Amino acid sequence: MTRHVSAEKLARSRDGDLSRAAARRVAVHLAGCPRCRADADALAGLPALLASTQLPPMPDHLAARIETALATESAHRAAGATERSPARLRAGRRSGLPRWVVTDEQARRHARRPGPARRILATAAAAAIIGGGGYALVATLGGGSGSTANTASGSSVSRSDAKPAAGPPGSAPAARPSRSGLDAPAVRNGGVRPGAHAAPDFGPVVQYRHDGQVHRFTPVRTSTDYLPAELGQQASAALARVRSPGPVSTAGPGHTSGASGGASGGASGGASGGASGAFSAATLAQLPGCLGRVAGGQSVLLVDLATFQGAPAIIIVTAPPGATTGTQVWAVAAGCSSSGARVLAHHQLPPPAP
Amino acid sequence: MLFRRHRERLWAVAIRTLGDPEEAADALQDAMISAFRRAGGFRGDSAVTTWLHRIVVNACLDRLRRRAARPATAGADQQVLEILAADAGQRDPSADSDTSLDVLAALRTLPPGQQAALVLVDMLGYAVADAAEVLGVSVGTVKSRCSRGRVRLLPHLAHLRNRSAARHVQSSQEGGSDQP
Repeated sequence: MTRHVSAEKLARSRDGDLSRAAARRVAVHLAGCPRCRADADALAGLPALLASTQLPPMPDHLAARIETALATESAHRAAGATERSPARLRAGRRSGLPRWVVTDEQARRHARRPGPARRILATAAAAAIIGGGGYALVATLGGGSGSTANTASGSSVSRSDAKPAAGPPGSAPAARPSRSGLDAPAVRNGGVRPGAHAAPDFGPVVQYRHDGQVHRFTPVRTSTDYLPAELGQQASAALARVRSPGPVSTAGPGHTSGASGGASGGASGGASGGASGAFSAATLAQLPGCLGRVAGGQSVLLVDLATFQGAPAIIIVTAPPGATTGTQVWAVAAGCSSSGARVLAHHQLPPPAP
Repeated sequence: MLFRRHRERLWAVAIRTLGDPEEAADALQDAMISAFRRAGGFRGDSAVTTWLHRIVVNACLDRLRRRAARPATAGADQQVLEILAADAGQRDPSADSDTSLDVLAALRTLPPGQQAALVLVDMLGYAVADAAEVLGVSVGTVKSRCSRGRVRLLPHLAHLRNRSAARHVQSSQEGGSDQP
């Protein structure tokens, strides 16, 4: 009987790494040696054994830690980019209040007006504050990207599903249609302290593209001033408000045709919208890029063009498609676009209570 | 966000290479920030996937080598295994967890290069060519690292193979009868 075969030679034999003569010698030896055959079998079984190792998936707290680190990194980068940003934003900050922000007082004035006039003006106000007085976008996903988008309120879902309203990214709808019961929540909200329990009002549908899929959003306004320590709570509250917009839920598919009409207007619609309207068109035009950057294909449950510590900000709530955990809240500075997202704060929401 | 899209796959590489969840997360974080700095706008193509994997694997290997240079961490490995055991126990109380821990412990005895090759090829099922690209070495080098690594693992894992074979037999018997 030949000498036992070393494990190394067995391995080389398996790899076809031996000369034909040497391989034949190994085969002959294995045929007559149970011990070396057992070694050869063990070696052959190793890849399967290694493949069977089970390790825990990434713990959420570690994932959140990395997300936060990345968000911070992103914030630093974007902060650098801000130095080169258009003067418009800086001018707005210098004056303390960007011109596209509709103050509570303005909103209240509109809200106090009675009857039909009040409704029309509320619509005008809505058109004017799309840029950031505090519209939130309620997500519904398009493009068959199966998701959790149905967590959005019924009204927004029906509108988005009925018809894709916005043009391609970059040509977001600018004008807001002047009909449908959506105006009512706008009025109601205007009369209520920001962040209170008013039903949010919904804006035009915006869509963005990610990895070939189209995701759609419907703006609503929550008028929340988010604070660092309360980001999670406030975002949860905003989500709840958006999901059940209160007694006035008259927004129906009728709104959709109007919204798509606005979308077809594109940039020109923004130009005709006056100073605030122009800015909202610009903001809306940047949103697809911003969402592509921040959400990156996740389900976007909420995008609130609100304020963060008094400064214009976009609050974005994302979740992995189809998941109930991993819901993230991002506060990014206004001006977020495809070229940069300055993350002001980040929060991971706990899983919903069963 | 690129991290979210690749998170689980990159985690699978990092946790198997390093064993310690905290350290794996640290490596992943270093790698993602490094990737973030080097590429402003990510594109979801396969080249980026490979590139990301390479950055993560290198971050893990750096840590492995640093660990190897500090003999004091030998004791930490035991803690790591205990943490993992607790983790795995909560998730899946089956005996497979023990096997996984033994495999990881055996893997730790190999040189980093062999560990990385085996993690990618045998544990995670990457094609040898893909692993070669991720590791930045030739296909032949990956093959020989895997081969030598398996040879070195053999004495550590022979008993596991028997155990897992026995369990397999047992479970197929269970499947074939009404016996509990």
